[in-house]
Amino acid sequence: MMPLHRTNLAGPSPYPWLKDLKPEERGLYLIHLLLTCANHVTSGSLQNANSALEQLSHLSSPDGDTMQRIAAYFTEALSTRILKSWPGLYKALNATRMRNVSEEIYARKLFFEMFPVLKVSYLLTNQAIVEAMEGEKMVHVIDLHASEPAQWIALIQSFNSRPEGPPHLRITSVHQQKGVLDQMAHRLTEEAEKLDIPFQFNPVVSRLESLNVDQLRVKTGEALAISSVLQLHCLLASDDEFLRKNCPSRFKNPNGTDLQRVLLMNPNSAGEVTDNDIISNNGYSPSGDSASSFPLSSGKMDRFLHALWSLSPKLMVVTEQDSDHNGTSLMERLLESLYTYGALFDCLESKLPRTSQERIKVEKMLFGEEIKNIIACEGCERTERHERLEKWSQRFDLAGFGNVPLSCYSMLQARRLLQSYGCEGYRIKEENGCAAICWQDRPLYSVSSWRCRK
Amino acid sequence: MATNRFVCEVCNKGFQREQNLQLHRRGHNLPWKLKQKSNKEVKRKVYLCPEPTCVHHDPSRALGDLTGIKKHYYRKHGEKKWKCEKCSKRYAVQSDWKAHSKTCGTKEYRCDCGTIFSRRDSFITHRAFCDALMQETLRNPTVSFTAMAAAPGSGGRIGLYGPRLGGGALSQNMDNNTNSSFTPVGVYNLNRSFPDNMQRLGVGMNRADKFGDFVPRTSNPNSSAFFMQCPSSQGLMTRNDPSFFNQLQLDPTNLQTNNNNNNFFNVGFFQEINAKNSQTNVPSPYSGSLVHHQHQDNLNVSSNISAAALLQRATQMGSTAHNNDPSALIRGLVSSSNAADVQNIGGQMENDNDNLQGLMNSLASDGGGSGGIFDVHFCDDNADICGSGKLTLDFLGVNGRDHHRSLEAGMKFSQPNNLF
Repeated sequence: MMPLHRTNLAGPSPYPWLKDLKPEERGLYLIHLLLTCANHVTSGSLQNANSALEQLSHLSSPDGDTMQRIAAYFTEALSTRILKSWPGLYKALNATRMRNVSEEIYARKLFFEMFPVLKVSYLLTNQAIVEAMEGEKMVHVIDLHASEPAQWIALIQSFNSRPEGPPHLRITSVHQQKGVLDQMAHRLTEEAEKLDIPFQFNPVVSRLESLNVDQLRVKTGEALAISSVLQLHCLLASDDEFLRKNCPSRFKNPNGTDLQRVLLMNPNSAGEVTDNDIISNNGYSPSGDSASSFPLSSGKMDRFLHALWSLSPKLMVVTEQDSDHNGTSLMERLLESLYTYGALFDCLESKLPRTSQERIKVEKMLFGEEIKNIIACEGCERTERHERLEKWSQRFDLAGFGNVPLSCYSMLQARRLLQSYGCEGYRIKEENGCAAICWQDRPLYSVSSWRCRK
Repeated sequence: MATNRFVCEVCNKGFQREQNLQLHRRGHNLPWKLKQKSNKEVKRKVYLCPEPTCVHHDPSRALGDLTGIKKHYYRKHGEKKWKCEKCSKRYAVQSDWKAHSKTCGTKEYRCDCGTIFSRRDSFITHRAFCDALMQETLRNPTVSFTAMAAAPGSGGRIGLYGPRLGGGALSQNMDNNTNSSFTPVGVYNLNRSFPDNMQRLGVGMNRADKFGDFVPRTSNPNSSAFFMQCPSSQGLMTRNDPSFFNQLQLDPTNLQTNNNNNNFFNVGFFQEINAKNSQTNVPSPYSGSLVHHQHQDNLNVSSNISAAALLQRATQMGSTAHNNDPSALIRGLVSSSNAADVQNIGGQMENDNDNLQGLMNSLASDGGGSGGIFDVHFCDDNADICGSGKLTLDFLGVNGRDHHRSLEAGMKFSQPNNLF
């Protein structure tokens, strides 16, 4: 029997035969390797996981074809996950790493430009706001994450051109960095002054998780609109251990061993929850269908939604990723995210050449980081908790919000925008009054609007 | 009676104090700049609040008169000794309490849903989206923004509360089909076209020229394609309104292709863009931005299969893998080089659940042997993995409990010749 070749970092590739793989074959093999590796990681057979990672490192590449790129980031994520089981080692390796905030902001800007998603979202959001604020004289818009001034500039312009004239407009934006808010303030007030409409910008420097709605200073008598673009899901990040102990019925798993595997993965939890706890409080729901189960939500999310509800907003428009990346087991998340990021990387492939540095930046700094978070992190650290639209809908419904279907006109405009974008694969579907932006039938993002139900 | 020296220029209502006049003027939606108070003489501010934690303890935030500072102190730092009899409000200053009890319960706005308001503006805001009101309008879906806009006198900035609350005046203009797919939030009615109102819309409208694109209503109420929509809310796509595209340096004057009517939907704009982009490299709205896009006709296609297609393929292979056939992977890989196969699969992923199920099936830890158990060996010294067949993968569909087979499978990975 032929022994496995050991890697020689300095020498030629130990897998010469891998060079001869055709792209499709290589792609399939990469998928296989990823799944295998994840399985080994889950079961704790790190030696095998290591071997898989070796092959993955040879075959994948951040500037190869789509599948190679995806594999590169998933490989990195899986190895980070393994490394985290030695917390000391992980922390030591990351101690001198500096977070490059301006690069992150740049990557987001690139995302705004390369994908039509944000543009469609802003269009739909603004349209919904203008429609809801018909006849209102005092409008207050809360932006839960100040990202693109373009969004609000467009809103200011829309309001300016309504027949009854613009309302007195206040925009409150929340962001961690003051610099971003300053820039936003400057652009928006400039635009408002140009059009001579009454405008006020209020910056709130805060993280969303630690935001207190009092900081938003909502006044009585003004019509309130809230816009959240790809932000709410981080509030779902919570202490999973705590939830598992206290609300075991919320964990639905088709396979009880999944939980065990997760526990094995997370060495910190070993002492807290015993296997007996899990097995006896098993998460099986007899009816087994989603209609009867609570969406998995944390206290943080419920409290935040309730706080928003108590402000009595006239409208809340939410844009979120429409994929289930919040499964409790690693395998679930890996599979789902393979599909999602497969679609996203395909979009980029169809639009930009492989040599494009900007494309690599978006892939690495935006998607790569998301993938790393989804795969390698657990508990409060895992903030990229994307969920399907129906779960969000349930959640909003429970929190006292009622759905406001997006108007035909908005949908029309959105479709037009996508068409003009020139990329064949995008579709926009309407389900239950919400818009789902898809790539080749795979839903990626959703936009929905809600009102406060009393 | 004291003279009402301050008079509102819009409605001639008089006020004793200037700040009350300002508050009143707010309701007429007058421009922001006029709201600034202009002080004729500046009062010297010398009174400080004795409470050290208070903002007004600082000399730069001193107050102007003794009564004022006393009231401030009681309101902020005192206990509320005075209580209103009718409601639960408490006050620290007697004059506040007196003023309140004069108006408590006297002037109420009551909404149909039962909520009571003391302020007119919050009442108005509430009514806009209140459920009860919505029920009302759903029964008589009459009010449309276009018609409201067309109502005489709408040229300026009128309060739309009038027509909307009235409702009745406009209802005659509409036909009374119920609007099935619509939940009015701002009483915003879309599924209508008004062939008989067209001339009406030309009257009294500031931007009448924007209605060039009327299309008579089709029999299908759900065809959203060319219904006349509310003019005001089309701000995003008007000719004078570059919005996002401006950010990306698109010259707005190029947008207007149709000189006859200001094209509301800017169909011309989109057509122009599409025409430009069908064969050319750069999608124009997004040029000049940070990213240089290139048309990908010849760039990557020849060597690129989409990730989606590959995943689909892997799913199918996983779910159809035969138990006793270790060469299934090999055959699968060989057949994938057949271009026709790949093209058929690429693109449409029909049903996510099926795919997920397929891929999961290919990995599922199954007790039996039917395409379930997977097991991969990279080193031959890990033969004991077989025993825990539940937790490992066997992409080839080989039964994990079968030692020899597994080892063979392991061998296959390290012997390149067999793979092809």
